[in-house]
Amino acid sequence: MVQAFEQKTPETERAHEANGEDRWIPSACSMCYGTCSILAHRVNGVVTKIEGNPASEIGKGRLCAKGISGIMTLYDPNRVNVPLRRTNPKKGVGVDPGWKEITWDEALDEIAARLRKVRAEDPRKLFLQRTTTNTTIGPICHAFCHAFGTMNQWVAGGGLHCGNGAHLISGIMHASWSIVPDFEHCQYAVYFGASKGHAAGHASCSNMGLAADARVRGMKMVVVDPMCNFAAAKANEWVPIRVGTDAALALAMAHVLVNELGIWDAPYLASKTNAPYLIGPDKLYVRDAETQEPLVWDATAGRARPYNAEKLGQEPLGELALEGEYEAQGVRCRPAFACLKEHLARHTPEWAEPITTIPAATIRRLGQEFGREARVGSTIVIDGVRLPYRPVAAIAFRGSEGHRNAVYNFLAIDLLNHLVGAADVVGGCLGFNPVCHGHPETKRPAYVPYAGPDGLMVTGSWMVPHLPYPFEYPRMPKSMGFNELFPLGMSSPLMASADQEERWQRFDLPYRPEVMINIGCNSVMSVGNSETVINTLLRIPFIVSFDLFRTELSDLADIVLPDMSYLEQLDSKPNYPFIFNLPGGMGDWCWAVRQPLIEPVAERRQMNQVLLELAERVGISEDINMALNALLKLQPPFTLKGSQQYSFAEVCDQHLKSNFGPRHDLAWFKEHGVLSWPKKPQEVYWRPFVEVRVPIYWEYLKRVGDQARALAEPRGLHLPEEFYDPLPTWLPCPGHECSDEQFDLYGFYYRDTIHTNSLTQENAWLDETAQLDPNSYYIAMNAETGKKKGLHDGDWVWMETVKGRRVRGRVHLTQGMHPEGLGIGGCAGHWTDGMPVARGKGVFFNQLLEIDMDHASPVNLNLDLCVKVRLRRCEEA
Amino acid sequence: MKLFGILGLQMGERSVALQLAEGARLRDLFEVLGEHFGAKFGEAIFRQPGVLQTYVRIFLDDVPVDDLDTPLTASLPPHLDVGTISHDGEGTHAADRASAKPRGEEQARVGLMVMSAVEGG
Repeated sequence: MVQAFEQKTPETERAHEANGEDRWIPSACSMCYGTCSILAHRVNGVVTKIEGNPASEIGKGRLCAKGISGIMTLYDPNRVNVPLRRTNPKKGVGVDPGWKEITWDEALDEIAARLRKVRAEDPRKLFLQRTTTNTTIGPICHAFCHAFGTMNQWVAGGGLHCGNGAHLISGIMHASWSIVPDFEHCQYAVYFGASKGHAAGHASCSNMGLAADARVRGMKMVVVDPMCNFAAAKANEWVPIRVGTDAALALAMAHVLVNELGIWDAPYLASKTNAPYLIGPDKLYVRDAETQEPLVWDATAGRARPYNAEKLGQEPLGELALEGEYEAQGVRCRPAFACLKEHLARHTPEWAEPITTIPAATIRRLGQEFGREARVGSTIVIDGVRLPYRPVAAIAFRGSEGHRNAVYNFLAIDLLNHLVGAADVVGGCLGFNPVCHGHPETKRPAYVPYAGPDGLMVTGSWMVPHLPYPFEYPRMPKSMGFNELFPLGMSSPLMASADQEERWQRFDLPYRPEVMINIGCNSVMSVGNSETVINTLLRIPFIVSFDLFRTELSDLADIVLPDMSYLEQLDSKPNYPFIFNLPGGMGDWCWAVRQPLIEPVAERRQMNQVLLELAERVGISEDINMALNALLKLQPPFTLKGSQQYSFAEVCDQHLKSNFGPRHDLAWFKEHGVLSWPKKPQEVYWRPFVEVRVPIYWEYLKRVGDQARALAEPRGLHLPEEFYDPLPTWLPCPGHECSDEQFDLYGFYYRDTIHTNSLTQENAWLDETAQLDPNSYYIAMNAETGKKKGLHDGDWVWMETVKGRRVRGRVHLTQGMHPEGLGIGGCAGHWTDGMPVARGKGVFFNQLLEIDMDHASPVNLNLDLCVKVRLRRCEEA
Repeated sequence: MKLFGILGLQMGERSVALQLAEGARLRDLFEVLGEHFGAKFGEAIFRQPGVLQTYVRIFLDDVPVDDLDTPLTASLPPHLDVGTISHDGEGTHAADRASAKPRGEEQARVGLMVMSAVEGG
């Protein structure tokens, strides 16, 4: 079953030796979804070294430890190399599947037959699950599902843990997947549970260099985090915070700005946000009776007028009121900003102190520093263009957002940027490339945000067809995850939750999943406690899993298919959309490709090609071609035609030529690796040039909430109203509401820089590195707290939840931890014999997490990732 | 007219041949389809009357189009001018179609697909 790379044919070997090959080949990393550009040194057919590609903006020649270690995954002798068929019908942990080697034809015949059957019955019975780490597989998976007719697709833990709030809100407020400081010009950056620039996340290696340069230049960096982690260790100031309370800190800082210092950017708020929109006593916009457009108070004219009066053919608006109280359409109303200002007055530093454990004086100082450094009203000239200059940024990601209160946590933090006008201007908080005017020769790819309903911004580019705004209003769910009820969410815990069947019954879901295609994802470990996930998987009659190694999930599969690793794969778009993974700020646009670095090994196949072949066998080639035309935005004459069968390489070739013309085809990109062209200030600092507004007052959230509750409550799904208020507040996680004093610590996991979730745990070099690290495989604990409990560095403990879930690990006592926090890195603790390097290493934090609607955001479905625990000393494992 | 993916299965027909009046636009086609399939057609693709769900894609001669006012009689030029920048910069729009040469006797091939999906990471 195990066939290593050394078993390649003697003919291939001799050919390489005869050629005396010694080449550096450009490609793209995929040890995390940062997807930095790489150069691989190939000598006589063997990859001997991987480095960053200095010709590319994506990484700028840098590569992290994970990137250089990819070679160990490529040549790992434990890879799956041939299709495997389960012979033991019984499934479960510790049950031998009785794997039997089969041919690809046997595997595809069986899979296609299953797929044809469920498609004839109800295509929604197909459930596709994929890893978020490999960006290559996104479009083909979407296309296959759209063509097949199922909406039941997810990225398991990747989306449920970090994607829901951060991405949709970044889309609504910045037209981008994520946010980052403008490293080149920012003077004061506050990180709330984010690691941008510290060896993890989007545009990883580029941001590392940019962040380092910014610190050298003098940018003050404040990191708010329970743990003095990789970002905090390099910061000017670490602010330890109680897990899951970031919104309270951000709101208190906003209160200091607005109500204590009187700092806000009035022209920005009036022209680029909905701050002047009039809000009635029902918390909704007051609308013009004739046009139904939201009204603003024109202080110059002394009357209420539509926000877009000029576009409606009326005279231009005068000065718009941000404060005061007025009468319009027969009701008393106030501008949204006035409502926000009053709302913030309740969120003082003294209110936030007992929630966050951060002294009120510190909160006040942070607010003052942020306001002072914002330099509201200032401008700067970049490349001959005068632009607003706001050198402050508040950014957030999973650490702050990964909670039940995900939406308000993220929104409260981003409000700091919008209050001072530091959104997508020089020095401020940037989306990753929300505006692109395209390559000079073809003007492609090109996109610009535009105004949608009520004048609010619609992103010009997005990762999936489901746009952040305008979103669909709640409908009775027909998908496994109930996504129709939660238009502000993406991944749903109901795909693998304890209350899955109960919810489906209550909402009369007319089908159940019968076939699951899993692509490189190990949801048994990446979502939450494995018991719950395994129970949901055992109910699916037929599971196919594309894998590099036999994981805990593939042990439950019926067929395991040998996937190629990223160093064996082809991809025309590893870094597109640019809003996902190209560094923000000035510099170059850069389009890179991924290409195979070695000859095909054993029976491994790239799953993209396999899905195209399955589409043909199922009879949906025309459908998948149309879906790819839409997803890749292919233009004539490079569209995929009718039911013609294309190889994945042909799709990639069409895609590249569609964007960059016939000269820049796949062969050109394979030779050159990247195509670059310079960014313009109007693209990077686009906010003054694009007529769109963003919501500082989320009026539609109330409307969404009212409609969702009307559908959900009669069927026993409680959606608390306080999560749907137009203005953000801090709301507790389930862990904060635990009243049992024995459970006195907050467990959480953090993104390790040595490992990427569960993906890299089998990598021998990274495992060796992690064993040398004091935290990677340990439970990080505040030294003083440990001492009080009589614990010593290296002691073995059980970490237990109120629900009785527990994991065992060794404590590492450190001063770099909040007194109530227990931090665990990544997704370790594997037990399958298919991953012998990873087996038995580290702590499986997710085992402590409940997976149900009570532990998910009632607005965007993000799973709550902090859990109240107690420690008990135990014997060595 | 072809209904791709789940739409064809939901409507019970994958292909429909229709004769529309001279100068008909996509909007007119959908009105006729609404009468043909009944209310379930509108529920599947419209967020409100006349406004498509953001995840519905229309294809004219295999090319995605965004604008319901695109005339069905327009045809793609042999090689579309890819320099057009519109709100998303990458779709094909009514203006492009209007300037294209008439298709003559050739039938317009229209496709429709629902592409709702989720993402994360």
